[in-house]
Amino acid sequence: MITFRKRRMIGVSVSLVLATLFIVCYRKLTDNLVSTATCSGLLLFGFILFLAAYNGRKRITFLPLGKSSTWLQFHLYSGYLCIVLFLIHVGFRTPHGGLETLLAIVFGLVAGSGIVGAILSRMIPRRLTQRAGTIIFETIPLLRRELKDSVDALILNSIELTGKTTIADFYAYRLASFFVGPRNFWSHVQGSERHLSRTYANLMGLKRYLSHDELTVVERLADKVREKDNLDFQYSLQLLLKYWLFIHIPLTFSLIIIGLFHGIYASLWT
Amino acid sequence: MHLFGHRRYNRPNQKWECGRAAEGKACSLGPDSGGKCIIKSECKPVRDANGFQCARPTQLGGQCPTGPLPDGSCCLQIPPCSPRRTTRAKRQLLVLLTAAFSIGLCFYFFGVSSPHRGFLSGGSLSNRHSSIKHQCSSCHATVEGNVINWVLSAKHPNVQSQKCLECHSMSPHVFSPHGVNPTVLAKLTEVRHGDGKPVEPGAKRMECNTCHKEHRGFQADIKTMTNNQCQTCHAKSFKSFANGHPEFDKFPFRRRTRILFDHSSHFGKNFDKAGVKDMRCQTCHAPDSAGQLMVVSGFKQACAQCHSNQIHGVDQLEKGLVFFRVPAVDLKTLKTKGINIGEWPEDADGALTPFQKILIANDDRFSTAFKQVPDVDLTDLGGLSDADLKAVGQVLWGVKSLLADLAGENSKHLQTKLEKYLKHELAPAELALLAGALPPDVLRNTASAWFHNLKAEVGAFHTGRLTATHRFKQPKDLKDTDVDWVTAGGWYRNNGDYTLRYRPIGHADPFIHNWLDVAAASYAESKLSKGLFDSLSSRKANAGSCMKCHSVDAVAGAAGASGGVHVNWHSKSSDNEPKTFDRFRHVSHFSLLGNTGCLTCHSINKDAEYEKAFVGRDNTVFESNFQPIKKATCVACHQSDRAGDSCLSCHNYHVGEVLSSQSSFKKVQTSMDGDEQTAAAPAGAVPVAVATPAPTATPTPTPTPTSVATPVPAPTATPTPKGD
Amino acid sequence: MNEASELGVERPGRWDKPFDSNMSDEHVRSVLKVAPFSLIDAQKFPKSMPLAGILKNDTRLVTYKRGDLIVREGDYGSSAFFIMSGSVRVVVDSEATKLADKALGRTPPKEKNWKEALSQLWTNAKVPEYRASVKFVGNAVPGGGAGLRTEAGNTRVFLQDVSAVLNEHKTVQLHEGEFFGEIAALGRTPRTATIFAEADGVELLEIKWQGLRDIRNHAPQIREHIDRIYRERSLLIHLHETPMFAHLTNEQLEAVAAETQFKSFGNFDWHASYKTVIERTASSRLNDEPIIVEQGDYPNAVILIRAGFARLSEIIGNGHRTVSYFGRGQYYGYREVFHNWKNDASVPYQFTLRGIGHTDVLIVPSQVIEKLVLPTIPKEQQPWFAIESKTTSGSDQLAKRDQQNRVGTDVLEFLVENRYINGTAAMMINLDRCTRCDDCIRACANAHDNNPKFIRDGKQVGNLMIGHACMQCQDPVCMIGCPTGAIHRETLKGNVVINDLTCIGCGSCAASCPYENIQMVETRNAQGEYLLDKATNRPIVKATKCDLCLEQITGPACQNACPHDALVRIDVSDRIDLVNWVKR
Repeated sequence: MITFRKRRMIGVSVSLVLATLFIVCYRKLTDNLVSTATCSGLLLFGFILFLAAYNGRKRITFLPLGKSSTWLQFHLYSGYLCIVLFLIHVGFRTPHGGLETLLAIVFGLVAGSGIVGAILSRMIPRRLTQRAGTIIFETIPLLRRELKDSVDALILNSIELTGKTTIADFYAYRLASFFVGPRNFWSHVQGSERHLSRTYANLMGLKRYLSHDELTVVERLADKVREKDNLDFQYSLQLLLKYWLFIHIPLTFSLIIIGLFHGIYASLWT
Repeated sequence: MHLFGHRRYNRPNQKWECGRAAEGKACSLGPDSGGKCIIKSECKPVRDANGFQCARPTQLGGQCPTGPLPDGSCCLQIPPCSPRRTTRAKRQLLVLLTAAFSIGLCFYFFGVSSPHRGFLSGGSLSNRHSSIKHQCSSCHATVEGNVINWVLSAKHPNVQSQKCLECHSMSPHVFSPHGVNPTVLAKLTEVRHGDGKPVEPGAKRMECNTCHKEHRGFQADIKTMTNNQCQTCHAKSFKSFANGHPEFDKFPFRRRTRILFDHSSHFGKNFDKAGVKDMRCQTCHAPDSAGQLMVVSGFKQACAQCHSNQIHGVDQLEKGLVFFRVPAVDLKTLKTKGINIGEWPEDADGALTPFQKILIANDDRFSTAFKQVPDVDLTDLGGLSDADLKAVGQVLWGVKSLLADLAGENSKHLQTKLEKYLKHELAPAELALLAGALPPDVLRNTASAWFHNLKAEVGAFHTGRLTATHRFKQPKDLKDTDVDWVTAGGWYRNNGDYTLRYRPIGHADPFIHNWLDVAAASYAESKLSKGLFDSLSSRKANAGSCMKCHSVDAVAGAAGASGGVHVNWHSKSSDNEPKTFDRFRHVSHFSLLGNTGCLTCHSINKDAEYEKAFVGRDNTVFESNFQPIKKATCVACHQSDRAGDSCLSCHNYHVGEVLSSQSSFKKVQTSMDGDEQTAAAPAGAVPVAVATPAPTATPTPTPTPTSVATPVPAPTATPTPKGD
Repeated sequence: MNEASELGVERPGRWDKPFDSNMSDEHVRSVLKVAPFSLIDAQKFPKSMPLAGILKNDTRLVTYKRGDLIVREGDYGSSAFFIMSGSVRVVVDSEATKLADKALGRTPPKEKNWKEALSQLWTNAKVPEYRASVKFVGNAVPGGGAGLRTEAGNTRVFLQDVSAVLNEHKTVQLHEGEFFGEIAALGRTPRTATIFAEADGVELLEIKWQGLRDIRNHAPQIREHIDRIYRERSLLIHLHETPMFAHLTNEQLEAVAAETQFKSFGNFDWHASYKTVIERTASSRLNDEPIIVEQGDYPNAVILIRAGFARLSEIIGNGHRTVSYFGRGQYYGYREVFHNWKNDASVPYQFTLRGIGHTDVLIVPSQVIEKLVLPTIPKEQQPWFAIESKTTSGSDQLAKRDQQNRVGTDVLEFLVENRYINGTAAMMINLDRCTRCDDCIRACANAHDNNPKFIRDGKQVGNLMIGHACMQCQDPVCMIGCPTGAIHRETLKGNVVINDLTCIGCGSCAASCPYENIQMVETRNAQGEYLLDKATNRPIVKATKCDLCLEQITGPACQNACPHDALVRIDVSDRIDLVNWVKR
């Protein structure tokens, strides 16, 4: 079993070699006054089709078309090569035509989102694992609700228990909304916990007005906040992991379509 | 995922999920495949012995406390939810929408008519072309009309280049490298490569857009070319201009100067002799409009001060150019043979002038006779056959009737003769010029003075009623034209030798200038023209002595035929110098000149035998007044990190006459006023019947008026390209 | 290792609830009248566990109709049978498996071809858990179809055409007073033959394995009987498979076999108790695990694991630390014995060997080894690492060990404590790489008519997670007690699979799976509504679990579909693979 490090080494070096090869060919040809537009265009389109084919491979899981992970490796590195090819195709210039510009932007978005996605896919899982293991995305709403119910219950019988509504009021004004739905998306993405410490600070601030057995309630409440924050953390990061594809995949399709159009069009206009 | 303590599968593969999943209240059943909510109640109670029982299985929560309603329906009715797409289903939907949108977009742009195709254009055109924005079809022939047409119109290989040529008139060999005639190119490359591997004629077809790539923005320079690109064709590649570029040979001299002007002698002595103070280069030389060539500022500015008198021929009475003469004739022989030529002065002297010969030869009445005895010596007619004598007689009558015609009421006779000679109609202006504004009265007086009843005689001769022979009566009290008048220039008579003479009225005298051109034009064909030209251009000082300064180039004749001549009326200028591979912009270099000025590059070569080269008519044999310029001089600045050393900074790709689109303006103009010549004639030339031909031994026959528009690359004139 | 203590722990749990409450005293008496029970000397039994008690609590009387299947080849069973009256038939010919399959409506699985595989793209159901039919209505196959019959609460499978089966297959008759199924019961090995009742009213005494074990321990004639059968049937083979003995001649091997004793440790249905056990502290758990040999004792035997698992641990400070775990076919003690035979300075056992759950071992005395095995041992069979001195401090040893098995102790303990060592295809997920993209689940669903067969969730240690997917246990306890044999080992790859049609949704397998890897699902019709049972109006439930994509060309879809190499189906007992993957 080849280790990940070794695999990365191979992948990077091979694609570097290819990239240089492409560029050298491009230079030679342009020096010879040969127009590379057509062949680089076709090559680029071929690459894009191959990259897109990965999506198809993911659907047809029941045919022995090679492991998905192998595909991903090819997908990643040919993705990087694709960027080189693109630059070659546009001649290392910013395109001027309307359609060309549109294509370039779409390509940029697809490639960009791809790179971002690759980075996220490597970084986020670690963060998810470090903190509180796995929660399945789809179950988060359920857990959130159960948590909310339990908090409500806690507050209610704190009123019964103590006859005071101090905590209840605090909860109503400061915390209720926090428990309702996903919160603090960005600070979780950034890995900040400021929002949490702020909430804690508020809770602790409350303490000086509380009786002994109210304090225990606050402690419990604090735990609940922790739990909820955990859910939010899981929710935010997993959301990120799922939604970058909402740019990458749809735009890939328009890239292919417009690209095809651009190809036909260019070949017609002589 | 737990539900009532049971693990349950997550089904992210499903398209739809319960609408209440978001609040974490998803039902156990979930929507159907169509995304419809199908759950009604928690269970379907079952009837047994003691009534209805809750049928909810344990894994879904087990029996509910309340149990079924009396009517047997479940107590936990579930109001229908509006199911939501699962994450993945949402993504798929988005994919569909995006794809649909993209396709729509494409079809829209395929559909639209050309004015709205701006979006599809590959980008704005370079500033020179920006005027043809949005008229795709003016360059893209295949895209007239809508998309169907595009598809139908098959892809022609070079259709686009053809479109370019509609505006840019180029060398006929435009698609051969450098626009040079392939065979010539082959020769050149053979010379250069020396490895016997010349570029095969027509080996490469170079489309315009191979180098000129459009749609790269308004600012884009579509004429640029990298050094590497030059060197891919040019076999002998080298590192840079400083490093490996071949040494110049005799740069920039390709031919002797058009105007004979010996810089060393002038600067050496003449100027001092004439006491002309501080002559500098710029006194006579100024950059042309393009700032490229340093052209001579012309006679008035440069030469007149000393040389206009020479042209007037001050204190040289006999300077006049003999136009008409009563030749000396062997009257005795004629008499004895009884050939009647009417009265004739015995004391006449000299032979027929080239002008007379031309005019008589082109007089229908005498041409046959003249042809019989073209070069007969009139002063010794003995030993001539009767027939010949008869012809001589005729010719002499030709002389007389010529005089009579010139003295006649109208210029018709002269005109017809000239037209016959020039083989084309004469505009009045031309007639005037060729006739040198010859005043008729002067002729009448002359005629009556020399031949008392010339009119009667000639009339009789023509009507055949010629009877008695009148003895010639010596004219009395003949007065020659006043000397002052004579020196003033123009026409005058010399009764002493019965000559009618013309003195040039100054530099570029139209009469002589035009007759020289006329003669030069038909130099190759007609002996008479040759005679005339030689007499006019012989450097032994006669009228004007133009050829003292204006060199005459031999013009190679068309295959077989003997060559013609060309008078260099003008010094080198962008009009008479074809575009070569080299380019040097003087103006841009002025700022660099030290106190040595022009001498920085142009140092006079004292020992050069400059003048020697002007004896012959071959312009390629020469010795320059100046030392050739060395590569080192340029290298001093032209390096990649300084003034730049791109091939294009000194070399042109397109050679020969290359007209950028503004020259098509010239074409437009010419086609407007049908008079090709005016357009074709070099600037400042007097309007004459024949345009100044390009000063080259061109393989094409004597230049046509449109010669300016046609490039004339030729091995001898085309400087051998550097660096290949 | 004295049994008293072990039983002491066990008894309360064991006799609280008898095997069958209908087993009355006169039933017991009637049983005691027939040989060989009549011959057993009841005095030999300890007061705490009289023979009568055993019979009352650990046995039951069952009557079968003609054609009823009693045991099926390949099934797991925890009980042996004694024929009280009537006779049964044992199908002995090679067709037996086929019969079992046919009879049970099992269609032997076959790998899909490309077309079939691809067709899943459009033939897969749209709704979850769609079933065209949910009930097994016997299928007419040559040699007798089979049917399901429910009687007094328990469902039986019966052959519809016994005479046909008798003609078709080679069978042997077993008569009154004969035992069968005892090896499978004691040895936790699959049934070797299919047996059915020849006529109505066949009465059998079904003896739970605990009962059988105790009777065997105290009644010599029973022991001899059982041991004889075992020696005849499988001991030789088992010894022969052991590399240590590979070089012996058959005579020598028989000599070894003659000297070999076998013993079983621990709790046969550990899977039931283990869920409670796991809650307790490590040390208390460890104390419950019966010691097979103890660190420091004189190495007087080599221990071969025959079935189940054993934990190898060493004393660190006041506790034990797991060093390794053994599964079927592995052995311990050889190194020590070899050392003592070679050197004059003898060493004790270096580690403690404990039975995990249920462990069945063979004990080969060291004299036998020294006499028969070692003199002729080839070089490659000699222990490849010497015994290091015990002088080095515990912490040093810790470091040393961790280098040896690079998985890390925490992972090791985790795998053992949770009994994941049982898995030959456990779903291990590296959470540091897993992007939670659910491609694995989607692939699984694609391969199973749009139904996932696992849950991407489970116990964790560090960044490792064992998903809730059937891990194809070496010891598939789920198969015990399936009334219809719906869950069985298929013949293609030997995977444990559930036959959906014959599954009656009783949930016994799901309950007995210690890993919660079998899920009960409510079946649906094409509209996505539950299929309700006419009688009860409750949804018809089926047990579902991972079948390792038995019929797919691709092998396990989940593993193939993982873009990040985060998921693997791994044989936990293969330590090399494990280490390689974990440390990848």
